[in-house]
Amino acid sequence: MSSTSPQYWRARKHWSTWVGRKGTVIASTLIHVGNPALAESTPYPYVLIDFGDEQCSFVGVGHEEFLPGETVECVWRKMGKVDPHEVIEYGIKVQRYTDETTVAVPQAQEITEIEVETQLTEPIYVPTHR
Amino acid sequence: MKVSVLGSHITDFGELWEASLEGLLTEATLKAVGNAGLDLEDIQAVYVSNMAAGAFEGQMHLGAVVSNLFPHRPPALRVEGACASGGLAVLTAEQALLSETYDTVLVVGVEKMTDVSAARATEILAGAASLSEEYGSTFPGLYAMLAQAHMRELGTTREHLSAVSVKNHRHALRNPHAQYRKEITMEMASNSTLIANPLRLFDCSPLSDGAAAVVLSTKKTSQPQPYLKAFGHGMDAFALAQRRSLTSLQATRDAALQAFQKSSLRPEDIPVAEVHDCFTIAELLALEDLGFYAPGQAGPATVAGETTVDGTVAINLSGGLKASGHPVGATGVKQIAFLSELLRQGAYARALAHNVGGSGATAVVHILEMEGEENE
Repeated sequence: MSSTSPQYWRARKHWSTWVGRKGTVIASTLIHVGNPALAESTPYPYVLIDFGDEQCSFVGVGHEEFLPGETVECVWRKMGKVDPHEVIEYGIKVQRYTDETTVAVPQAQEITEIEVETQLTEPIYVPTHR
Repeated sequence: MKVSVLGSHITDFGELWEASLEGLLTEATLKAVGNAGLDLEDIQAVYVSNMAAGAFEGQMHLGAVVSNLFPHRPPALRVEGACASGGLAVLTAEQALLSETYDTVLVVGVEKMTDVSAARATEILAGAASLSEEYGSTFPGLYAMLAQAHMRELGTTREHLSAVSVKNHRHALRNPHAQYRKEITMEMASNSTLIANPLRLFDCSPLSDGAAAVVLSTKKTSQPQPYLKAFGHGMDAFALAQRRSLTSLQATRDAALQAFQKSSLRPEDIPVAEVHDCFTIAELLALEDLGFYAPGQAGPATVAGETTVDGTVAINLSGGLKASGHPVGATGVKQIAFLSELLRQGAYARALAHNVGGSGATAVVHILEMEGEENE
C-alpha cells in the first residue's frame, strides 16, 4: 500500500494531527528487505510504540534500529519512492525524540522548495516564519 | 460421527516452472480422490483453500476451476484466511460433514507464488497484515518484532532460532515433495542474510508453488482410517499493536485449548505435530502456545533435540513451512495430508496440525487420531 493510497488516508483521516505525538518504543526491527513501496528506504526501522492511550506501528526515520524504551516523536516525512517528476508521497514516521527536535507541518510550496534543495535526504522541516 | 481422511495427495512444493495453478489443482484433486479409492462422482462438494490466486496469477473463482474437473460439477467454494486458509477450509468442510449436509467432500489447497517477482510477492503477502494499521510492515518485519520481544523477555537466542531451521531442513531430507532437501548448518543459518533483524534468510519460509488435497468422509469403511478427532479455531487482534502480548499468540492458545478440551487429550498425549513455522520464531511460539513447552523453554528444547524424531514430540517431520515449502493456500491442507499419511503408516497414533494466518490473527488446530487407537 502506498502512503498516497486511499486506504492509508481513509484509515485515519486525521493523520496530520499525529505530528508531534510522543511515545515509547515497545518493540522494533530493522527491515532489510522491504515492502516495494519503501524499497528505496531500506534498511528502515519499523517500530511498535505505546502512546499511552493507544499503541500503533510506524516506519522510523533513518536507517538504524530503535531500542525498546526509547522516546520517539511522530513527524511528517517522505514515505515512498521519490521521483521529482511525480507527486511526492508523505506520511507519518517516528524519530527519536530530543528536546531540540523541531517539527512543523510546512505549506505545500515550502515542501517543494525544501525537497529540491535536499534531494533524497529526509529533512526536518523548518517553517519559513521562523 | 467421525470425519475420516480417506485419501490425500501432496504435489511437489517448490519453484515449479512447468506447473500451472490449474495443473497443481488437477494433480492434487485427481490423485487424492484416487488415493481414497473413490470415483470422482463420489465427491459431493469441494472446498478450495487459497489466499491470493487473484493477485499472484490473475485467476479468481477457484471453486469453478476445481468443480470443472468433475463430470458432475459438484458445489465448490473458496475459503480464504491468509496462511491459515488450509486449516480453515478443512474446518469448513468438517462442519458441512458434521451437519450431515454431505458425507464425502474434497478439500484442496493451492498457491502459485513464483510467477511474480519476490518484491511483488512480498507486497501481496503483506496484504495479510492490517493495511490501515501496519503501513510499511512486512511479514518478516512483524515476526522479527515478536522475536525481539521473545529474546528480551524470555531469553530466546540466535542459537535457538537457527536450531529450528537446521532441524526442519534435516527433516525435509526424508520428504520427497519438499522444496529444500538440503541439510544446513548452524553457522549457515546464523550468518545468512539479514531480512528483518534478528530474522535472517534461513529463518524465513520460502515462496513456493504447490497444492495438497484430502478426501474427508463420515462414511464407515472396512479398514481403520485416520480421522479428525477435534478442532479449534482462535482469533486475535489483527494488528500487533492491539495485542496483549508479543511473546505469545493468543489465537493459537485459544484454538489449542478448544481442540484439547474437545478431544479430552493433553499436549503430552501428542507425539507428532506439524506447526506453522513460517519463521523460526513462529515454531518456538507455537510449541509454547500449544502447551508442549513452558514460555521460554521451546528454544532450549529444540537445541537439545527434543523436537525431532525420537524426541519428546516430533515437530515438522515434513520439513515444515521452512524447508518443505509454504504455498500459503496449500499449507494447512498439506499438514493434514502429511499427518494422516503418517498415521496410516502406523508411525504414530495421534498427531496435531497448527495453521496460522497473518501474524497470528487467525489460528486453527486439528488433532488427528488413527481409528482403533482411541483407548490408548
